[in-house]
Amino acid sequence: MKKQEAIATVAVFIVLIFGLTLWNLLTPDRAFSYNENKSLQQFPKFSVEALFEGEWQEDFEAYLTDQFLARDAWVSLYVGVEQIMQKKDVNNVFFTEDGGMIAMDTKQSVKDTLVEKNLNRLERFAKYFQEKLGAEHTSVMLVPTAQAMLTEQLPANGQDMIFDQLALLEQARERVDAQVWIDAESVMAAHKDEYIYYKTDHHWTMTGAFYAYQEWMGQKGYKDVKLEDYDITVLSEEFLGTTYSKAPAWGIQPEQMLGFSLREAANEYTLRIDEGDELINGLYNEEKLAEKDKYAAYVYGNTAITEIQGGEKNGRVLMIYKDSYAHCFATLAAADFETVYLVDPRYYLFDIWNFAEEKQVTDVLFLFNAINFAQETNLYTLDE
Amino acid sequence: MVFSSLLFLFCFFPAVLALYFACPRKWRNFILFAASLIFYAWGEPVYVVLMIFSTVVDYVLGAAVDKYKTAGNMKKAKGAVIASAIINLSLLGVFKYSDFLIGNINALLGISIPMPGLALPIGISFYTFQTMSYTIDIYRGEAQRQDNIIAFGTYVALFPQLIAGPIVRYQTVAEEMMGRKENVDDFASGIHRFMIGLGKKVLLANSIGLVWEQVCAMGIDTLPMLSAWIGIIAFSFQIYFDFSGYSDMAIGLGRMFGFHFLENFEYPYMSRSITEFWRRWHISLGTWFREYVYIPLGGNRKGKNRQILNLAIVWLLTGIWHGASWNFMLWGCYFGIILIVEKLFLLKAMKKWPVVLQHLYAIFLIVVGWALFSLTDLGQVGSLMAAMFGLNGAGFATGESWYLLTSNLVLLVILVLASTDWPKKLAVKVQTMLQNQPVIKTVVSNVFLVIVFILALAYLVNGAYNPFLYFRF
Repeated sequence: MKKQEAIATVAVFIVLIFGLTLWNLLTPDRAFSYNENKSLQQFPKFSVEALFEGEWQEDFEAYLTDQFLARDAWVSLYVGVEQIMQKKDVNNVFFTEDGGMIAMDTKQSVKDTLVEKNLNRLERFAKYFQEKLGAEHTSVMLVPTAQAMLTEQLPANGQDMIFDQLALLEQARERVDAQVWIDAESVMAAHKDEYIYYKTDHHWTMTGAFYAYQEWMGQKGYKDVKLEDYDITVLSEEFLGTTYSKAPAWGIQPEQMLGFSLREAANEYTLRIDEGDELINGLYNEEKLAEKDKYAAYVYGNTAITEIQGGEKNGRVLMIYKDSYAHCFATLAAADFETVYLVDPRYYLFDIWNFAEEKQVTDVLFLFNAINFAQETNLYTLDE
Repeated sequence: MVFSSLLFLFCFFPAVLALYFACPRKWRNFILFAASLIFYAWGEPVYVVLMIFSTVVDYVLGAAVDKYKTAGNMKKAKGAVIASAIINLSLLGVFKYSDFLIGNINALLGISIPMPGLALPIGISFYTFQTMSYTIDIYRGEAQRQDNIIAFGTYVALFPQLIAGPIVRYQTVAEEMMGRKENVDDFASGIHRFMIGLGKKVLLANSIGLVWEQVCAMGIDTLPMLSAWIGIIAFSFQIYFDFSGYSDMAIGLGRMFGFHFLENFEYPYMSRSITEFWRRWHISLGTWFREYVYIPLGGNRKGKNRQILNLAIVWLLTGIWHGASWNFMLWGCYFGIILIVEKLFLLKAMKKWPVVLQHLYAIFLIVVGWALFSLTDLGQVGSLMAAMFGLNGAGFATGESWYLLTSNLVLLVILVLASTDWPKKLAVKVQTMLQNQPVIKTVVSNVFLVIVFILALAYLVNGAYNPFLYFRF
């Protein structure tokens, strides 16, 4: 009796250990994880030197972890167990009652010293262009993210855990001229019951971006924007964004991604990426819509510089100094300027002042979401 | 390399297991020895030389002790034992304590001798104690000398207990080094033990460890009381499940290869006094110090004053063994003093207390002890203590405290239950209930095992968060 039980245990163990080992060995390696949006570690090249320094071993372990069989399913299982355990956040993601998710950026994830530096840089940026182009052509917009606006959807005391974006906005507002500051917080607050933030991604939706665009156009006295003026198309019904990637819980519904286009204007847009020679037609990268990273469909995603041609022939040139919140926003702004330059400080590390001079920029917009602004380490190009 | 990694579970271990059981008995020590060197060298390619050095030294000195003893020359035999102690303790001294010593000398004399800045070789505190035990055991006639250097090397380097114990004394496994009989029953019980250890480490210790990390990140100086206690209780659970989980895995792995190590933990948080706690916590270390320090110093046989002195020496050493830093010294002294007080009168007086009060007394002192242990910076320790006792003016609780508490409440309840022997009692009860239904019994126990393993894998894959606390010792 006892013997049989022992044999059964040994058999189960052998099957588990050797079975999974073999299965892992026989599964072909993947180069890229779409869910995590990162390249996966490949089998490391062996060298005696790397071995003695322990680098080879580190790479090999990373290789094993990255290539582990059905990696995403294991992480989903982890998230499921944590949810059963009543954890209020899993992998820095809050789960809301309506089956959505909200990214959680803790107080500890933001460094006060960096915030102070970035506020100084923002101030410098605003002052410089205000002097050069005038207050009516200079705008600063910091957008609070879902965790800062949808507070009633956070778990109890959840708000105490996260970085206070609204306090940061208050600080930033004091640093720039009132004419320059675009109050995204009030806009988002006014529409917070609408679908202005994705439930599986850290970005605002096209709708959220639209309201901010409307406010910006209005405040600058440029034009009156009405929702009815736009044709709205569904770009995808299958969007599962970055928040989902961090905590891929079972049963999360994919989301809709929209495209807005001005009905009256028959604009033909062309894009130029990173000052290359190729001209691309259209504002959307359709290929990305078929992949995991669908948000990158808007103006071709993260680049150092994206140049958009084809808006109103008014001789105006807009430079948006931005993070990815500007990508869907730019599909709206493209109509109002002859040229729009999207400049991303994470990739464009050259002199921004020269750039504006060279491109004969007439208008500038500083557009970041508040949490990115607080955590961004690449704004040093704005330093003196 | 650590057990709770994909590397160990799906590369190293299957390979060693297959090789080990495919080969005839006489090769098996060599396979374990070679595997252990790879296991060690994986993260420390250079320091493996130190371990081999310590092994060779004690192999030679052990043989010398044996030779002199047989020749009746006890003086020379003793000399060899002393040589072993000096060499091993020097290794420890240089690689573990030199920065600490020089730093303190510099601070004291206001000079600046450059520090060597050597990285601590993994497991050095464990294997030096093991090799010393061999030579001393031969001298005392409690073990035979081991002629086969591979067998001896296997004992020192044996990967299950190499980097975090238990500290296996040579006499415990002397016979099994040469004539062990692996069998299915041992193998199966080893699997169970390993899985339980894996679960303790990956599911419990790592999870609650994140809470301690979170609390630390909030800034020790400004913690409200509740957060401070959540933090230090989290640390108390982390260190117990981390370390005892590791011991379980070591004992389980040993058993799969036919070794029987002694138990290292016996539900320490169920203790009713600190004296009892130290009989249940890291038993192999306590035994080592008792056998090789306390008793040779005279133990309790030379009067009360001498006993107190002996206890003080042992606890100072126990403290400093845990790390080259003042807080560990303080932690050792703390327990030394409590143990002396208990020995002098408190233990007797406590017998009249209600049992609940005895438990509360013990657990309170243990947790406060962990506060001394958890942070190597004495200033930080002070801040944590101030926070725990509400002396930093940060109040009782903030929203963060309540969030931490409610978000981890289920985990905390599980940890409390898992610290007791109730789960084990329940398992025994279920097993007796199913005694006449061997099939169901087999299914139940294996399903449990598979679930623990699958969940542990999910947690491992999810997190690169997989540190072993006892690495620094």
